[in-house]
Order: sequence, then structure tokens, then C-alpha cells
Amino acid sequence: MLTQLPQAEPGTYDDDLHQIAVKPRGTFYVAYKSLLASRVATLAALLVVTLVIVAVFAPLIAPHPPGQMHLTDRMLWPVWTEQRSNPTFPLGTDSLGRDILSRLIYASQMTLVVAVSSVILSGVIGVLLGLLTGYLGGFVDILVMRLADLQLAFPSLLIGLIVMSLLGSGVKELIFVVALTQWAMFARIVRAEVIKVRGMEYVQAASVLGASHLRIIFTHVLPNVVASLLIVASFTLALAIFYEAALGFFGLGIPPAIPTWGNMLAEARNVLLRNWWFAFFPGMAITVTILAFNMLGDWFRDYLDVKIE
Amino acid sequence: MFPALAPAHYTEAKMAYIVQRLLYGLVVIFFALTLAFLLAYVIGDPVLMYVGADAPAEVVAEYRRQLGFDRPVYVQYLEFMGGVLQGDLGQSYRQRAPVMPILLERLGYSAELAIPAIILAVVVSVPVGVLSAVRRNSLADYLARTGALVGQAAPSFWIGLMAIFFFASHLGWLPSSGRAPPGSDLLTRLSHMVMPVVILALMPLAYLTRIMRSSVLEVISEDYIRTARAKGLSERRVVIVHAVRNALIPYVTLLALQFGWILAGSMVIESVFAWPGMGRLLMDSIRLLDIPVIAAGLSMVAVIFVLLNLLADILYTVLDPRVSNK
Repeated sequence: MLTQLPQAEPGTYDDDLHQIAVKPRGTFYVAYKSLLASRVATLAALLVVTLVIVAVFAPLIAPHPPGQMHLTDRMLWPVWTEQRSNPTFPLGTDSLGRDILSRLIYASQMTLVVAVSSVILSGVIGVLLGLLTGYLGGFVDILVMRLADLQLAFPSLLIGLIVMSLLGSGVKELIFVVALTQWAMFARIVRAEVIKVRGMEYVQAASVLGASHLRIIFTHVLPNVVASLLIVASFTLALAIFYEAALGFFGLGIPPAIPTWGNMLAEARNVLLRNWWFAFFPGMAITVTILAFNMLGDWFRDYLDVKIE
Repeated sequence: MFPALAPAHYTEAKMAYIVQRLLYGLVVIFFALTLAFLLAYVIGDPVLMYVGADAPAEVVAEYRRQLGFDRPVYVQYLEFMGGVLQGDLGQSYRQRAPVMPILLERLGYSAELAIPAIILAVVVSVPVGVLSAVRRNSLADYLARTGALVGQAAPSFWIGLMAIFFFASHLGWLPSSGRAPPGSDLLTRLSHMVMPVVILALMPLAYLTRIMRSSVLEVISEDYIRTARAKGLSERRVVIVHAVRNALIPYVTLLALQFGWILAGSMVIESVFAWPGMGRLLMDSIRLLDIPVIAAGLSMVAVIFVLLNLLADILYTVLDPRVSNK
């Protein structure tokens, strides 16, 4: 990793020397430049930033409260169509007269909450188990890793659906389900790194010199897996968004009273005859968001040049 | 299609590897069955499903005794496993009939969608992936890559909904859902299949196109491709005979695994299109908590997954002689 050289104080150094000492660029600066160099990655990053801004400032951006029903303005079409519409509802209204644009905007909050919490929970569980199994080896290692194999042997959506139907729907349950199906990815990566690093001479030397396990973990293991973890994290974000949508679509996700993209699709499914816009916009929001996180993940992988199975 | 392998390639190491994978697959199936048992008989209470949640306690106890659920868990477990060995996966709560025949019938319907879908995915992804790699950074490559990215991001149930709206409700070209009634003519049957098959194929299609492209790109910089060009072969021959054939090795392996994902995707697609396959059976059973069907379905999915993984392993060792050196 590049570190910053101590800043030269004027007058203390020879002038020539001072001129050669170019300030090295930081890791994040280099990554940022590379991000800008890739048009796809720039687009993805812009989309993600937009999503965050929309979610954070939802009450300021949304033209209407998400649950407000306008009973005289039900099932309005989007404004650019030739049909019955009203400019204060740019994307039309649903069957209860609620503004679709406002619901989309508020739903982004829940999307982000679910996605970020799922990544944190599955990341923490996965990293801890990966460290534990990598270090301890033996019986614990075999047990946990076989469990991970078993986990990865099933279509994760199937597990998600079954667990959700047994647990009942809810935000915490949904986050738990995503973590349940994703921890194995994090655990595998960390475990592989621990095993690799454990055998290295410099780590053995550090250990002989009295470095604690924690020190070895924080200075030698984790810095080496950050890249891989970032990639898995961005794909996990995309997956969590897909899960919210899919489980919501089947009525097993977040309770229907909360506006989420998946719930909007589920509602649209029941009334979809000619009201295509009920389903079209939430679906677009889901697709674009997943696309953005996937593209970021791809870019991370190319930039960091990591291979993940 | 692939070079005939000398018998010497079937070394003991290779066989040992396959046997090891086979044993490992059996372990996974064993765990899956145990999980299914826990789900069905320990977490869910089968008796309540029979008599209803508000039945008097003595009625529940009587049923529990009659059905044998008052015995120790390990006895029930052994009985369950014994039943599985004889192809008996218990009774559906809802239909009050053995699960196995129901499951097999539905599996057949699922195959009607899954097999055409995987064929479609292969037929499209191979040429598109090769073209995209050979004409790198051309308009065709750009379109293929964008299509693959979007295809992987768009949820299939949403595409399904929009397709039903557009092709069935709006244009009226295709039936909106369901499998054609038995005895229908071929055209009717095909018209019911078009939308679910195409949409089921989209996800693996996008993935396989990306795999094919990167696989060809990797192969094309190898020395033997340069040699083939240097000895004056036409570019067409270099690509088809030398590049594509070798690029197909990782592709075929991943294809076997994609088939498993089609299985998962069919749960979603069959529900959207009301297709009476195993995916929809599972979805309905999950919603109604018909736990023996869920357990049996889970076991079935595990078996299919393990077989496909095994197939992928075998294909990989057979197609690539270098694997045996490891």
C-alpha cells in the first residue's frame, strides 16, 4: 500500500532533492481515477450515488406522501400518454390513487436499508466464521465448510422462500434470510486467505516475535482480503435487492403496508390488465439498481484483478 | 466433436477423483434429507396440519398416536430415511396422497419448459459469445455485452409480467398463462410455451454469453492459436476449430450448473405463468406450509443439483486432459 511521505519543510532540504520528491498518490486517488476512466463504472457509481441521495432526501423530493390516497385521481396514466392524466402525478397513480413516483422514491429507502444491512450482517458472520475455521482447522473447519458447501448446493431463492414462509414476513426476517444465503461466500474467501497467510514465513516470524492472533488478523489477513470482500459485497447488495423484490412479489417479503419495489410489483400483479405502468416503473427501478451494483462489482473485479469462484 | 481420448488418459487418479466427487455428492444428499426431515417433522407440526390449529387437545393427542408422531425423534428419523430409500417421501397434507408420484408428474411438466429453455440458451449464447469475442469492441460486441448485463439484472418475474401485458393482454398474440389442455394441437401447445421458455432462458443466456465471450478471449491469446495462424490457416478455421473448441471446455462445465439455476428460476416463472410444474408446486406448498411436499421437493432439488455438479466434474475431467495432472 502506498503511504504518504513526510512533507518536506521548506528550507530544510536541498532544493534539487525537494523537486524530485513527488508526493505519491493515495490508494483511493488511484482507484478514483481508474473509476473515472471507465465509462461504465462512472455510470454505475453515479447511479448508486443518485439512489442514495434519492433515499436520504425522499421527503424533500417526493411530490406526495407515499401513502396518501387521491380517490378522485385513481389509476391515472403517466403524463406523456394520451390518456387521462394529471401533471402532479408524473408517473400516474395506482388503484388506490397513490402517486407512483412518490412511492418509488420512498421505496428506495427500504431497498437501501435491506441491502446495506444484509451485506453488513452476512459480511460480519462470514468473516468471523472464515477467520475461526481458517485458524482452528480440524473439526470446526470441516463442519462449517461442509455447511457452506451444502448451502451453496441449493438455489438460494428456494431457501429464502422456505425460511421466509416459516418465519413470517418482516424487514428483520428478510435481512436474516439474505445473510443466511450469503455468509458462505464471505466465509470461504476469508478462510482461504487465512490458510494461505498462516503458512507464510513472515507471518510465522511475526508469530514467533510474539504478535497476537488479533494482530496477525488485522495486519496480515484482513488487508489481503479487502479487495475480494468488496467484490462479494457489491454483488450481495444486488442480490439483496433482488431478494426483496422476489419475496415481495410472492407476498413473502416486507409487509405490504410498507412501500417497496417488490410490494409495488406484487400489487400491480393483481390488477394488471391494461395498467402497465403499475408494474413497469418499479421493475425498471429494480433493474437499474441491480445493474448499477453488478457493474460496480465487475469494475472492482477488473480493477483489483481478483479471481473469485 | 472433442478429440478422442487415449485410454491412458483415464488414469486411476481421474477415476479416484470422480469417485471422491460421487461420495461427496452422497454426503450432500444425506444432509439435505436430514434438513428436510428436520423441517417437516421437527419444526413444523404435522399433526396440526391434519386436524387444524384449533382442534381439542385430546383429538390432537389421538392423531399424534395414530400417525406415530409420539415416538422418539430418532425413530421417526430412521423411518423417514428408510422410506426415502424405498422412494417414499411421505404424504402431502393438502392432497392427502403420497408425495412422490405428484412430484414426478410435476417434474415432467417442468422439464417441458426447462429443456427447451436450456437449448435456446445454448443455441444463442455460443454464436453470440464467439462473435462478441472475435469482433471485440465492435457494435455487435457492445450490444451483446449490454444485453447480457441487462439480462442478468432484470428480474425474470418482472419481464414475465410485462410480457404477459404486452403479448397477451395488449396484442392478444399469445395465451397469458397455463399449460395447454391435454389433446390440444401442437400450435396451441407451443403458443403456451413460448413466453415461459424464452423468459426462463434469459438469465442463463446472459450468463453463458458472458462466459463464452471471456472464454474465447482467454483462449485466443494462447500460443497454439498464434501457431495456427502462423501456419496459414484461415481465420475462420482458427476460430472454429482451434479457439471455440477449447473455449467450450469451461462453457460446458458451467452449462451443467446453469441447468440447476433454471430449476430455481422455474419456481418463479411457473408461478408467474401458472404452469403446473414442480416449481409452482413448491411455491404453492411453501405458501400453504404443506411441509412434506416442501421437504420432498427440497430433497429432489438436492439430488438434481448433486447429479448436475457431478456431471460438471466428470465433463471437466474428460474434456480437459490437463485436469488429471493435478
